[in-house]
Amino acid sequence: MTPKLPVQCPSCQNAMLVAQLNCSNCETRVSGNYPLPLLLELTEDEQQFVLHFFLRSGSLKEMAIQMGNSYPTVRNKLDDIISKINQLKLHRE
Amino acid sequence: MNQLLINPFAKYSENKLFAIGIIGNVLLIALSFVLNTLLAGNLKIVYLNKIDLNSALFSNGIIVAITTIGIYILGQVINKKTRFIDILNTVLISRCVLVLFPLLNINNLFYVLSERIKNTLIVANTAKILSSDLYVLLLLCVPIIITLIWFFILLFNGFKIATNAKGSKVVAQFAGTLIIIEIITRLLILNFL
Repeated sequence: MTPKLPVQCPSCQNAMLVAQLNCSNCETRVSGNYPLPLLLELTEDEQQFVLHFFLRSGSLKEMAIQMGNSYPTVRNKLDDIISKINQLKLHRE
Repeated sequence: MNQLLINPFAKYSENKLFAIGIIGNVLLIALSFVLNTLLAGNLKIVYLNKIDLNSALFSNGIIVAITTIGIYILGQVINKKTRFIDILNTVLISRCVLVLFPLLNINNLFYVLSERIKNTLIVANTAKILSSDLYVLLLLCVPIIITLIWFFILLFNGFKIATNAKGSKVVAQFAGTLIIIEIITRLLILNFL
């Protein structure tokens, strides 16, 4: 089982920061406070959606067929993710 | 199953919805003609003694056209990406449930009943109305109200999917638009029929 990356603080819902990175080869450790890349701040479901969108060359029609949903449902989900990313970007600036 | 009945727009492709919508509306027009029911607006049903095919075609056509255009304009105001086909499908699919209205007038049942009550009211007073007539009339009103609620739920759900509209403000905007649509359709049907 692949452990889920927690992107939100379970206590206050704020965005989490990366505090430590480890090299599995030489065991070098880097500590600091690094913000997660923007796409990683999306939920797992949203990240999957973005990945499918990318793999389908941005064809919402193909995605709708694959997901078994209607075209507007898929487009609405994409619009919601776009607006969430815009908000996250705004929050960072 | 529940989603299929109240929100088929989330799952089915526009081609499927359009085909089912067209079949449903052809059936609605045919039943309106055969069973003498004039749908004179989204909220107005008139049971007649006799109706000609042109009236059934014209009234249904006007309602579909005005409702689609009216809701599409609101959709464009809310979200520029709203597609005409999604709104048209919303209107066509929602109207499929209205096939129940003509079915209530089999053998001119509703017409005869309402005429008898109306005539009794004109020549006599409310006390002379047969209580059995009133019970039957009330009984027939129950499926009408349920169908109308179902129709509006379908219309609103389809609109929300087509426009990605959110929030409570949308309900007021949608209701306002439907009132304007109702006034325009009734005026057109009244003037041309």
